[in-house]
Amino acid sequence: MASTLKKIILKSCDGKILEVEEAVAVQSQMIKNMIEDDCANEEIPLPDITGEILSMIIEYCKMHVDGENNSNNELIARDADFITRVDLNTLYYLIVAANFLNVKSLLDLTCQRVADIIKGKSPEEIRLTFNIKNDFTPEEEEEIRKKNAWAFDYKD
Amino acid sequence: MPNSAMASAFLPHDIIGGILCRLDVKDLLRLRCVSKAWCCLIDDPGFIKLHLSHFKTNANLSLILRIRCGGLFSIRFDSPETYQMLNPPFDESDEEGFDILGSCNGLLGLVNRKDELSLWNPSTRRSMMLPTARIRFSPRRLSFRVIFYGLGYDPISDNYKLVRLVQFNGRKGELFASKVKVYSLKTNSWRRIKDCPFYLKALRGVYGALANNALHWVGSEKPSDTRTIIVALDLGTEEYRVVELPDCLGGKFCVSLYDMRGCLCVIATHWQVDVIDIWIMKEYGVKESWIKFISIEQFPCSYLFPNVMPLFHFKNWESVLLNIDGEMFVYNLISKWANKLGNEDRATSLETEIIVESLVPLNGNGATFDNKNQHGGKKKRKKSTKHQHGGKKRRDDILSEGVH
Repeated sequence: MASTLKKIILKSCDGKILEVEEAVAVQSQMIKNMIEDDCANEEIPLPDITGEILSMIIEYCKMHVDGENNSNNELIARDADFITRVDLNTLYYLIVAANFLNVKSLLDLTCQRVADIIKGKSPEEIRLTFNIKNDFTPEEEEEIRKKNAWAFDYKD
Repeated sequence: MPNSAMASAFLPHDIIGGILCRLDVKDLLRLRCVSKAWCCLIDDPGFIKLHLSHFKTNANLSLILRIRCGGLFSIRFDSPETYQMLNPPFDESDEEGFDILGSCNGLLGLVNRKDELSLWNPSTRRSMMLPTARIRFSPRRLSFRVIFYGLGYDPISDNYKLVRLVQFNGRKGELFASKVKVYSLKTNSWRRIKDCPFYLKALRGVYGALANNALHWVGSEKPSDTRTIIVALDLGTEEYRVVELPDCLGGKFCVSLYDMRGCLCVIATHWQVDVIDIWIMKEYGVKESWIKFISIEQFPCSYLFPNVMPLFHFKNWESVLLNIDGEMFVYNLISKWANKLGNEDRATSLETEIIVESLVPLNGNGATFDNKNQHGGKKKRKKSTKHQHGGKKRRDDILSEGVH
């Protein structure tokens, strides 16, 4: 079909130009809306998304378009393979980009990956992993811990 | 920034919510002390709803079991390798005992033999005793009373409601009357609502089935009426209505009513032909949408008429979890074959309930108690423990069925 061969041109914040098949690009609800509004005929600049991250997102969308006829289990396995190759820092940029481009399945996958990393960790580990400053006074923190002391017994 | 760390401080608030809503209640209660922002987010009513809807749509549910030799347990469908012993607010060893009267959004309503009521969230381990609902009523000629209960959520006022319906019956004939009070979690108080104009049949169950934000009981227009109806109390409007049973139930039967993942479910026992039919109402309120789901002719137990309780359906109605006389069966609708789960006596469960993990707080304007402090005078109960043994086979079986 002619329409599936139409190319969408995306430009990352570091100037990388990527030509993407329309069928792949419309995995992004944002781009889909732009195409429907006839605003996607020229290159689409994507601020805050680097070429590296954009390539990963396109790889992911392509995988989903190509795998449309595959079984659900196959797709889950491919998703798992894709996401476990991603380090935490890249994961952060992927989430921000998936959110901006509104690629729901990728946002789900990345958020679930972060949730899996959080699961079973101590608050100290979480602060370290996610660069979060503890803004509680020791007394306030103690109060919160006391309220649900049983939830801190998590290494059993 | 090291590669192992993430600049989460810059993640938008709603993305952090989208991540945290995938975590168990226990993780979340611990993560409240990460930072003020995380604590606020986890306590936020909007986040609590998001978390609940995520767990509901992904069928992250637990089965609550009461084991014959005592003790209440919960088994997560997605991690059945461990099960959790629960610490209910009413003492299990108490001679009076207690029943689970309903389950809604992670809350369980409990009632003991003294008619004391409690709301309990097993995942946050919070519970509260309800104030007493006094109903002053001593109608002449109406000599005995039955109390019906139900727990549900009213989306209009965004409130949890517990219904206590007292029905007074005459020894003979047509006389009956009812008085109904609704407890509101928001105000921590009881309020009388309209009397129920229908007759409810206590033998068919006193705990209301929850579907479409309404509670349902089996009843009839009048005590002598042979035509069975389903009486619904809408928790939003607090009006009563009739939900029609399927026309083609046929023959002589008695029905009992359940809810299965929000669907009304009727068990029709045809005592003349030794058949138990399970009907479900696929589309709430649409009489034509009743379908006969399962017909049990050869009972797996030796009893003539077992007590069948539908609990859960898997994989888009491909199979269904049934409690038949306290034994758990997975009935596959395609192969039409029932697998019994586990065969140990101790695993036999008389009372079962499906519950979702939730952060729904029990702190309206009323007192919230930690379970441990609630019965200060009573003997200390065992702390919740994870059991890695016993009943394992059955749990694996539940897992192998999968939940969709």
